[in-house]
Amino acid sequence: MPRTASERLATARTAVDRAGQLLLSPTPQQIDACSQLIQAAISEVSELRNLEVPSLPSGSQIRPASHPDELHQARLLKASIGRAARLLESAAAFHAGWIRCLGALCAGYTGQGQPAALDRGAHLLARG
Amino acid sequence: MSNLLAMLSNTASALDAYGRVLEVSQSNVANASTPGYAKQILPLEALRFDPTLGLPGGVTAGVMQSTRNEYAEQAVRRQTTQLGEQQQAATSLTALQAIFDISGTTGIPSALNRFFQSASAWGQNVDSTAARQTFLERALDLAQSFQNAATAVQNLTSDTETQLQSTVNQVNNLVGQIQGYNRFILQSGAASHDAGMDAQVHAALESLSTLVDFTSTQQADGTTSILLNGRTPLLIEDRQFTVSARLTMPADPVNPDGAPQEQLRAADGADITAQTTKGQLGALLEMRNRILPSIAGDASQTGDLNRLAQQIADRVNSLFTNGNLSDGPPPVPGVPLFQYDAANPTAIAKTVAVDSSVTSDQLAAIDPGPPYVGNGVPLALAQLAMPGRDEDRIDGVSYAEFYGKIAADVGSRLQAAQDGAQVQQSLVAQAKNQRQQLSGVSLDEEAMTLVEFQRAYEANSRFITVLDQLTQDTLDILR
Repeated sequence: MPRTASERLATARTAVDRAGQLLLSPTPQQIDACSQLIQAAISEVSELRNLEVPSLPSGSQIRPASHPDELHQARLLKASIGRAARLLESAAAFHAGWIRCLGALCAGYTGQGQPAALDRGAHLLARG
Repeated sequence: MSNLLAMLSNTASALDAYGRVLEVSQSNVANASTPGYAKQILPLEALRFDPTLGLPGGVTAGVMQSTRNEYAEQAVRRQTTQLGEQQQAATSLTALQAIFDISGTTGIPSALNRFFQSASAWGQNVDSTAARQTFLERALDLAQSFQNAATAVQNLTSDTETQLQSTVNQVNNLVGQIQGYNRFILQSGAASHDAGMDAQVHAALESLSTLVDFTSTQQADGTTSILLNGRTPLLIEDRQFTVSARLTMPADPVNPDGAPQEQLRAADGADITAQTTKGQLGALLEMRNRILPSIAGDASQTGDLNRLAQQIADRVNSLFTNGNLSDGPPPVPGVPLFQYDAANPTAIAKTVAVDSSVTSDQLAAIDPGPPYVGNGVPLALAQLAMPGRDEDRIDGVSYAEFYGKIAADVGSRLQAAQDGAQVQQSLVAQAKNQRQQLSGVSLDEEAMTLVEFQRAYEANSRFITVLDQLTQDTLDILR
């Protein structure tokens, strides 16, 4: 049975919310899992567009009152994406700052007073 | 024999080292839930082993190390400051929103609606004493609704001032606590590696971060320096610089009888209000000095509520005084209905009232024109609900719409603060997890992890952008 637009939006939001949960503790593994969830959400929303757009009469305007559930779900999805984006930005900014700190710790400062670039090539990590 | 003694000595030394490591572990476990505590590590170090030189080897305990990462601590405090700001804004705006009902069932919008309805009913039955009396009662209700709203905003302003004072006291108290730790460190000279004291300092700093934005630096002697907003000293060594809040009139007030502004001052008397925009204190200053005055007015502005009250009172009075009570001869002109304290523009909403000397049979109904209209005044009053003329509008909109803009502005600010607080809670949780991740990780391992991070961020960032655009397109279609 084909799923409704509202259900697809809700599924996409669940995926984005789960991605947001993973981003609360952003290890590389969690962020990788997060990509898969966001891709799944993209698929859901893309499918929705494929279903809905051709059915619109040319030049017609859908009133919010005629699609209240879809509009509500789309707004919730938008808020969830905003939250996930903030978490991703914050985690990226945190690590960018930490890279600068590590650069200064490992290699000191450049002539311009900036933290030196972190030399990653010389490091080998063996786990196990 | 000497080998046997060396072996015994080695064993005793190792047991001593292991015992100390165990004590550190026990302390870590016991303090697992202690606010501000960071795990301590006591590394074991191999002793030199060379039998030819008589060095028996063995193991000893090294210097105790803290796993605290100041970079991660600062990230947590930065996010906590923003959370404090958003939560305070949400709390204050919730109280303000309660005063400005937008549903139209209570308060000013309801009173305004009933006032216009009663004018319409009077216009349809212009000689009815009951209709006149009802109109007069609705005018009383309208004036009362403005007074109630103005008083409620004034009370909220007083509450905000009390909260501001309390927050400033909390800031000074927390800095005072850390000053006490600094003093102890300076006097004892041995506390820089005291994990317990370190935990207390960091717990106090985290509490402080909810209230204000600050920069803290641990000095070489173990003391903590604190700069408010990164520039105003609060604590240096054992010297505390207290901040204070006080009401201050601007140098050249537009409204000399209006409320003064709340000013935050550094210990040297410098005005640091403008730079204090973050944390609970920043949110309270924003509420007290910007949001509330925009509604209720202060020394620098009239306030939208007063503007609305004055516009309605003046327009209604103008319609009555331009109308006639009877045709005469000579014609008897109407009298103004509303009065207010015109000397203080910031007290209009609070003082607007129906002139107690006016009775229902003194309400002018005749518009002498031209054209002459026997019920012209009540009809013109009713038309104020949906104005067709510029003089019946305020800022180009009807009175109800103007009120709606005030209420909608409060509502949208509240929504933004609530949404912001929700996201910010996640960001604080994330920062705390990152702090946990960074504790006790080797630099080499960290460098490798960061390479993985960078790759993962870039991929996710692209996906989020695509998903956001798709969702926006969907929203645009649905709208």
